[in-house]
Amino acid sequence: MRNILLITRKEFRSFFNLTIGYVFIVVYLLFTNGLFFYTLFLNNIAEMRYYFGIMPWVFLFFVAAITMRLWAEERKQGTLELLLTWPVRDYEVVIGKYLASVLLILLTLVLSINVPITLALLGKPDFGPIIGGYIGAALLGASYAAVGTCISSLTENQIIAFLLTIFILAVSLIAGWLAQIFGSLGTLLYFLSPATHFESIARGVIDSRDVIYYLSVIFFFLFLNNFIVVTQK
Amino acid sequence: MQGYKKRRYGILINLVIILGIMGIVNFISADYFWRWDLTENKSYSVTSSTRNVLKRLDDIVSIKVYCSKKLPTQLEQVAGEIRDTLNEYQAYAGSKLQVEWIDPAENKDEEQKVQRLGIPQLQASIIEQDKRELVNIYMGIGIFYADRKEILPAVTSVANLEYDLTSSILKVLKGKLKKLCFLTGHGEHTISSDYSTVKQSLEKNYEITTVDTSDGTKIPDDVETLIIAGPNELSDRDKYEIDQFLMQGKNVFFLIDSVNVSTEVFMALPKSHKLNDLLENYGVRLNNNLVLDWGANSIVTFGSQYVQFSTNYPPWPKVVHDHMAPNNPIVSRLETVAFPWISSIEINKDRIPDMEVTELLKTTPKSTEQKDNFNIDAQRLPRPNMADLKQYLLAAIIRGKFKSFFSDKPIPAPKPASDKTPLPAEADKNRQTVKECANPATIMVIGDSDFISNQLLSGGREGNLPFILNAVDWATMGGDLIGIRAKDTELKPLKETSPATKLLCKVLNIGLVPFLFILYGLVRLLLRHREKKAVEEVI
Repeated sequence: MRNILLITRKEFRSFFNLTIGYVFIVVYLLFTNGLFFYTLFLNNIAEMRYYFGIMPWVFLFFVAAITMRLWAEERKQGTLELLLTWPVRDYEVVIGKYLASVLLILLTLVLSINVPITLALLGKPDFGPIIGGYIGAALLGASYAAVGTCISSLTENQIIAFLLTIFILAVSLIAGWLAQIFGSLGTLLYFLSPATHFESIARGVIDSRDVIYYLSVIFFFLFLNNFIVVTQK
Repeated sequence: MQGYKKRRYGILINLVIILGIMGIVNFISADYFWRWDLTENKSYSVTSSTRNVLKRLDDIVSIKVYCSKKLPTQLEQVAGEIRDTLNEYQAYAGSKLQVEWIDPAENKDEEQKVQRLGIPQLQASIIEQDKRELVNIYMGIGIFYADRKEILPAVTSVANLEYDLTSSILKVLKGKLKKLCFLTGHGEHTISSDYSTVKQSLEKNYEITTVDTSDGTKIPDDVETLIIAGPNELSDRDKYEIDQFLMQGKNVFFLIDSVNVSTEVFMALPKSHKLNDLLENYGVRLNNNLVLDWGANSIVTFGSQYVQFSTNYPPWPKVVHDHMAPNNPIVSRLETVAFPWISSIEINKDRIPDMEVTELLKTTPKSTEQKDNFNIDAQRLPRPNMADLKQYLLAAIIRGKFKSFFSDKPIPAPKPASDKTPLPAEADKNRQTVKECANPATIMVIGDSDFISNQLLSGGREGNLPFILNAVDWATMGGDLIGIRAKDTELKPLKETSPATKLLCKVLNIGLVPFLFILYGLVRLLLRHREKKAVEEVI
């Protein structure tokens, strides 16, 4: 456990030692806040549904951007071998790096706290769906991050990791949308899409089925990530 | 090397096993799940009203969902919601509720049966193998109890699902619809014309009739609630019939205009309805005034066909949630109720000490009244005097054992009508005036009747319609359905703010957090730089 936290800390700090880390977060905040507050007074309703509604798509780019370098950079700079010869277990590295990316996502969610505060000042929002939205966004981001870190471990090129993550996640989102085209396979695709599980949480209803789905995705991709790292040794 | 290979192989097997376990966990969890509803009004959970109805079931009610297996995606979602809702229903009802899913297309007999029940085939398009196909589907629900049934023929949205299901269950249990009656014959609003929207909504749960008491006709005994909506002068006999109806422990809604407004010439004049003595006997004074709410009101458009303008119009008060009776089920889910020209009421508590009084709707404290000299021209409204501002009561409910207004009076004779022979006075001879309610009765008094006319209801998303429906249900159905309605009226509007505040809000929200974050980054960078320099100097 101590090793995991050490790695998480190292990865989390290294993110802020690069200008690019700030750029990602600032662009993300400008984009989401800008989009939300641009239409807030037109809709004139004290709720964050629009804010969370675009989350599956906005997170696509944001999470891909923060997970792309986690493994790819180590491989490129040849530090991966070094890292894996440390007296730590492989899975500790996998989980440590993953947790760092999840922490970053949680940090950005915390940084959007101004949105519910503003709504509380301007009206009487129902905080249930807002809290649900945040929990949902955290689960969504965490499962995206599991996919992103896993893909990052496949390549030494960050750009490829970035694009591949976006591609795979986008395909899963779109497949959920178009599920009905695929006949009986559609039900499976509908179930597999991260966006369909986000809907009810963002409405303010936490359904154990959705939570189990997200935890399954996270668990599976972390395991796959571990498998990839081990085979590359 | 051998070891690595073995390990790899082992992990690969584990991977497959884990994938399998996860598939099974997700598969099982689809049937055994819990839902945690975080919304304030528990909008996505079965309400306590429904739970009470379900817990009270003492015999088996059976629900059959006639739903096709192959559905377009959006209806697939609806079917999923229906399944979840019914699962919850079953959880509360236990073995007393049987739910069955049937695809009528699978069996010819079943299909004929379904059509006999009045569940129609719907057409929907499904995309299959690159082709858009039109298919016939069924999406109906039947609720059966003993030899009675209720059918929801086409459930294509779940907005009203709980209300529809629970009211259907109540209906099959009770068998007969409760009766609701509108008073006619004195220039009231008519359910066939300007009250038709309200009538349509009420018809779902009530049998609706009308009665004209001016010739001495009694209000039928099986009526539960009488609605008096905007009458002109009522005779003593009318009042007697109303009073005696109330004395049976029934409900009477008084929606009375005491000021007549002509919209053509924008003139307001006092209107005589002669109900004051009756109402005062029940502890309510209906004022001959118009209330102007300067704090919350509707935006109204005025003008001719050439020039039009919209403006905030204080004579149309809008009651906001903060000024509704707290925790009252009639208004608990409503955000606003808007009135066009309304008179205030006052409660004389000394007269009715033992009654349960609910002050349902009030104006904001920034309100004034006009008496006698009415001036309702939007452009020439006299500015209010700050000292005159106060809060007015607009709607109230009183429940209890009322005393009759006619307890020490003779029975008034019916008015002879020209086309009808008046009832023989002998009939009245055997009639005994009931002097006091044996069971609690309910009255609701509002100084306006236009707020639920078709014209007003078509206007916007105010809670006017849910308000009156809730009130009728609350009084008539004894609260069984009250919590379920108003599900889709709960939009939470933002407060009114000035354009400057809006701009400030945008700028701060979009810019402030990123700016602070960048600032933090710069400071951190600077500190690191210094640290590095210091280390270099030491070396």
